[in-house]
Amino acid sequence: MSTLVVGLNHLTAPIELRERVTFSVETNREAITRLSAEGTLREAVIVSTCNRSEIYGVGDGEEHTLSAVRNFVCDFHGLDPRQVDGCFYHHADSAAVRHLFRVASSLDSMVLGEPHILGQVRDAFLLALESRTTGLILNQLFQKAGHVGKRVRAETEIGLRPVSVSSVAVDLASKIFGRLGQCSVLVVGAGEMSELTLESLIKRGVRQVTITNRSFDRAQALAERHGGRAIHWQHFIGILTTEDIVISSVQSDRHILLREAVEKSMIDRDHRPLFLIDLGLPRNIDPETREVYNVFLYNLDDLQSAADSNKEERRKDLPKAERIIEEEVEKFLRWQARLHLEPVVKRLRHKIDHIRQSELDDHLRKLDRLTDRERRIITALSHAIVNKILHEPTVRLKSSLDEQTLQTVRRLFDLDGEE
Amino acid sequence: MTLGLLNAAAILCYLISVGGYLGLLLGRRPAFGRLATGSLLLGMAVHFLALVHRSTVTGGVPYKDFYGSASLFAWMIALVCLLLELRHKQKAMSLFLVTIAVVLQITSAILQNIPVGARAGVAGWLFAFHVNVTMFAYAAYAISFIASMMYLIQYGRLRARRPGGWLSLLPSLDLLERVNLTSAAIGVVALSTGILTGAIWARTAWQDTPLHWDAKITWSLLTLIIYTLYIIVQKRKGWRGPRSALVAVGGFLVVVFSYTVVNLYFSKSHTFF
Repeated sequence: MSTLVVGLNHLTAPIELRERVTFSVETNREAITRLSAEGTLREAVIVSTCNRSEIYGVGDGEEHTLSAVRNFVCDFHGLDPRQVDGCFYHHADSAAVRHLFRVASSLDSMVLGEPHILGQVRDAFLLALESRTTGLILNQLFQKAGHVGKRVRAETEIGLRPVSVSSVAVDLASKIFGRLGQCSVLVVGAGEMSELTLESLIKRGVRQVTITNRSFDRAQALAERHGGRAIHWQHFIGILTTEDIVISSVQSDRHILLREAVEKSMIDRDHRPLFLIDLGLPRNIDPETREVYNVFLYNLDDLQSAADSNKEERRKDLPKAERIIEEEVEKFLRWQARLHLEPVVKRLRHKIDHIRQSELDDHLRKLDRLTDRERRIITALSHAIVNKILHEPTVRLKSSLDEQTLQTVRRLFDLDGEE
Repeated sequence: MTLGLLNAAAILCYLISVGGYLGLLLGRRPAFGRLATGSLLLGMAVHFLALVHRSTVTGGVPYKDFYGSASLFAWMIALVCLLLELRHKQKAMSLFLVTIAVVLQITSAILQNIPVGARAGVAGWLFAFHVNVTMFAYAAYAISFIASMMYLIQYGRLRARRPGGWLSLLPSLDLLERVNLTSAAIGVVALSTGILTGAIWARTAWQDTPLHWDAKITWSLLTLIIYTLYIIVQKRKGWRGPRSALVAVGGFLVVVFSYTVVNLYFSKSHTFF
């Protein structure tokens, strides 16, 4: 029996295909139940996110099982198997274990170090657990995967620094203001990026959101969506005295915020720190404003270059993460080998003991004038010989834990014939 | 002998603690932080025994030799570091503080020579309290200094739009400001108490000699004024932020000057604290 994975991800399959091969909670449950009921796989878990769909299972690692799984996926989603040729990858045994550990640690993700995949892997496992399609192997494998994911995040810096414009902005805000619970945000104009940034700030618990736009109606719509208040365009300079963070993204040829205006409001706000985020192209805020005491001004380029250099930083820790994963793959394989070993040793002992017992019975029948004591001694003799002979091979098997040796023992003693 | 052993044990604990804080900073594993704080506590306990042992041998608090004074200072820094961890729930500054403590303690342990026998006129709990509370104030100022420096570095980095690198592990400006304020306030209260108890003690102890004004008092008063000024201006217009942090840095420079040059050359009755 081997652990295997069949799947496709953002590197092997185009988005059109990935979209068709996703599994919702319901279809996931249906698919894993069918896979294990039909006997294709002994155990099954499906991990499905927007960037990947992967079927993990326990079955024989032969080509026909892998293609059976592949065909099942095509059949399930109504795809022609020839259409998807080359989009699927598959791994077995140690490669499959390593693959899941890399996925759980986000090493296989589009954004290295992204935090959601670990939860998605866990949810997939819990769903399978609940549907009773997992067993000894996948239970252990997925629990280990969760552990590996956490270890990699804790011991390396691949998830540490923010790598998107909005998360860099939020990170900076928390470096200036500490906890954001006391901060208020002003959004000037509305673009996709400023809305993303606002959402991240709201998630971190900012106290108050104010929105302004040249069109008051749009400001109001946005304010309603995010639980803030809308103000008229001509008032926004006036409320700089009370805001802590300003996100600006307006289509304008001229600067909408000048140094003098900021200087004036800094006096009114007792020089409390002011964080200006200029996401406009061309820029909305006069770069001179940067010189004003206790003002922090970042434009789109600043945030983008910080995000880029953080991405580089994350990549630096890749070798460390890979080392952790190798270590854990090794551990898992040892666990699995021990699992295979025990039945072999048990069967070997059982078989030899069976031979001993039947030979002993045969011969004792022939020696019918023995006293009880003599019978006991002969029985003990048979036990002693068997134990002495089996001792060394058992110890060696346990210390080697090597699949090849196990196979040899099985074949030598013809152990697979008996259950 | 006993003192040497206790000092060595305390130094060992502090070094482990420094290693732990370093590990926490670089490896970000909470276990390192627990190890660091744990060995800091242990180190402080052993160090305390060393200090008690020392004062029984010398018959008084360390005020006339640098080595005892440095050791007491080290212990006070460790204490304030621990209070800071409890108050603000963060360990980013502890690395620096415990490093200072361990350097002071090593210097003190290597160079120590212990004058034996109590000196007349400087015993009594009021005098001991006067010395200890003043040293505690110095330790609080040391923390204010480190918080100020970290604030200035962090401020410079954020203004220069270079937020990456290992310095991104520095605490937020807001936290550093609050730490600075807390420690400056504690320092002012402790130093005022120190000056007051000193004055009361001097009155009772030196009844027969006419009171004289010591240079140390001038410098201590100056220290008090600067830190009080800091507390007042740090939320005022135009002073909030890096400017007030600079005031706190200036305060600490006066403290250092007062603890070294003034003690050595100007003061008659405050040789080493």
